[in-house]
Amino acid sequence: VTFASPAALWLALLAAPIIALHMLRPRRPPVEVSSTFLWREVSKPVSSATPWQRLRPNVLLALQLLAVLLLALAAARPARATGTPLARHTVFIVDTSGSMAALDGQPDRLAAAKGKAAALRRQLPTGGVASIVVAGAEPRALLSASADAAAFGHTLDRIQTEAGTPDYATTFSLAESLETPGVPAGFVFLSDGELTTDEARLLPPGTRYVKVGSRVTNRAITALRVDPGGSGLHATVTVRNTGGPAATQVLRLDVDGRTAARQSLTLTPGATVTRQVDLPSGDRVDAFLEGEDLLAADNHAFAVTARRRALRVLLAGPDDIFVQQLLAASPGVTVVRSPVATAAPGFDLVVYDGVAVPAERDGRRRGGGHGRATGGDPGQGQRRAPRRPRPVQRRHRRGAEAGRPGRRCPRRCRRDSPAHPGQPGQPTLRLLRLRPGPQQPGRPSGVAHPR
Amino acid sequence: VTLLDPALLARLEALQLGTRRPLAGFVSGEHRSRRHGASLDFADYREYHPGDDFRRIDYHLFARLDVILLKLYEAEEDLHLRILVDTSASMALSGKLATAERVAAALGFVALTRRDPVSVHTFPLDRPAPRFVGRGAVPTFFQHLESLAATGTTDFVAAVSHLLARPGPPGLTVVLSDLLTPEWEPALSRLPARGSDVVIVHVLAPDELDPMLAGSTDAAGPRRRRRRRRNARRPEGTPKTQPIATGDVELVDRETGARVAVSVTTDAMARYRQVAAAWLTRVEQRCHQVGATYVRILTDESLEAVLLTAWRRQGVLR
Repeated sequence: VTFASPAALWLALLAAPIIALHMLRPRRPPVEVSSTFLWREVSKPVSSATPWQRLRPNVLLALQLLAVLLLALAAARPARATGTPLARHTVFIVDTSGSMAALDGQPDRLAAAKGKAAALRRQLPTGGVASIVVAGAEPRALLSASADAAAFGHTLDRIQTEAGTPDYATTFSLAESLETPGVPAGFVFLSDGELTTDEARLLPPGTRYVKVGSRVTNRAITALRVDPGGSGLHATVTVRNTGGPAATQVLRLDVDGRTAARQSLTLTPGATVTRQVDLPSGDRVDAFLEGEDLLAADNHAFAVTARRRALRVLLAGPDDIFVQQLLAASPGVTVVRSPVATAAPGFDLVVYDGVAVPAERDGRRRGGGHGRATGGDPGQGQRRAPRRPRPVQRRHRRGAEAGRPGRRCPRRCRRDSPAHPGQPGQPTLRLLRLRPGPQQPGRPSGVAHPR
Repeated sequence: VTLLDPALLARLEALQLGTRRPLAGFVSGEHRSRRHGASLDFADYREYHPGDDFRRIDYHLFARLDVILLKLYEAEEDLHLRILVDTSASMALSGKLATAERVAAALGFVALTRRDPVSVHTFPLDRPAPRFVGRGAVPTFFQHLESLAATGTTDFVAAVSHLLARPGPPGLTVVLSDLLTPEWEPALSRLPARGSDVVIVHVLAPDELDPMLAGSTDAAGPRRRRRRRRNARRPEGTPKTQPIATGDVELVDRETGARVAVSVTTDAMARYRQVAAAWLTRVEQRCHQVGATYVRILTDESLEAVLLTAWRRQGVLR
């Protein structure tokens, strides 16, 4: 027998004051009489003057102690662990949150969860079916009411840990939706136990919770902020000892791939340490917490510097107020209009809108330099032409500036554009392709750069 | 008249106060006096002295003995009744003061109907001692008795000294008290010093003789009141067996506030009964030694039965 709330057994200590009250002599109640004249000769109290007396067993005391004992036992919620057979339709809910990558499994918690799920799958009753629901940021059912053990195993193998906060509410709703009428369903939740109280309430009734992972030793970089500071960068790194004993680890900061600073940190249990570090200028700052702990994923963080310089944009072509306003709305952008397509030295971006691209573009195409194509930096293009006669044009996804996967970007840009972090030191030039408007079907396509 | 039942008063009218010996009165009355007077009852002879009334010479005796002797007759005078009522705080419990008032009213009524003067004294000595004479003073006498309240401490010796110092014929002194004071004995010893006839009326509550009789105090707590109600439902004739309290108690003296720790056990109760019985015996013996009449009345006794039977046997009333 175990107790769900063993701390409530402290209530049994209430028996102590009860026993003390029984040992205390009752205070002599005053009784008024006409005169104590005759009583003085009888005044030989049986009890002594000490406030304590020997504890005599009596029924009232026994009943009070029994009541306290029962109260403490009831509050401790005694329970008996019994093996519950799996339902004919068992839904396995596998937690794929980042913490499942902790290395206290074989090799990690997710692998341990898979192993336990496979073992439980073998305990299904004859004719039983199993479903698998992944509890991640985007919950999904990978297997639905399948009696195929091999498919179950293959599905388990495909499960990987995911970044982001798992959506348990949706996960549990999805798991309950897999319930089929007429077939008793059961739920097995394999997780390392990071549910909050509110999330735990959402668990389907009768869910069997299978815990994986046992250790809590981990240190993590919880925040990294990089701001311009002086002639370089100023980084603020927050490191936390989320569990385990005190430890001393090295915090390494790389700027554009080169180690710029190393600091030793001593982290007491539960402590949060914030360090301010001045770094040389660069585009990307990576912070590493060296050493091994339970979860390697949170030992690395990176930040992209918010460097921004003024851009001069040449808008060549007839008046197009929309494009002009669009460009002018961007901070730090200076738009210069030109009714005709012309070479534009000194501009960071040239937009040919409804006009033919000047002949110099061919030369740039051959030479491969943007600056020369726009007339902005012909010398650089000439120098780079022999090394890169034809720069590779690649499509990238929209939102790449923020490092997020997404839809394809409608623009076609060079990969070495500053819009793509992680390529420092490359020449910067924005190229824009403008589609002709529907009222000007004959206008050539506004390809902003050669192919 | 609320102190006494009219029927009882009617029966008391036929009685008169009794004394153990003739007492000199102040005026002519209905009681034998130590003096010789002009009643019809022959008392004695004495020698003739010049100036004596010739009519009182017993000539038959002179003819036989040749001696001139005068016939003396008993005198009948009034009897001054002095009632000394204990109004200390100890008399407040168990209705002892009320019983004392009723006894005093009965004795005083008997005296007043015989035209005997009655004076009421109290102790503590903080109240006046009015004197009543004649049947017409009965209502006033009763009102005075009803106005008595039980407060203060018992100063028995001082009260007796004060009573003895008052002028007047010896008369009959009736003391109504519970005598629950250590100085009861010297006070009793001094009472007959003036030559008066003394009657000690010992007013007691039943639970003062036997503490196993519970529910007798007015200051009873809830437990005692419940016990009292239980006793009230008890069938007639069933002896009360509940003690004054149970366990360890602290008895508080109503009069002095003194506290005595007592463990109410069967042995303690038995011992108390022994002490009380011995004390009663001592009081009674002391009364006999000093020539006082000792009568005892319990608060739960019928006053009519006590007055008309027991006290008549003892000569207090005739």
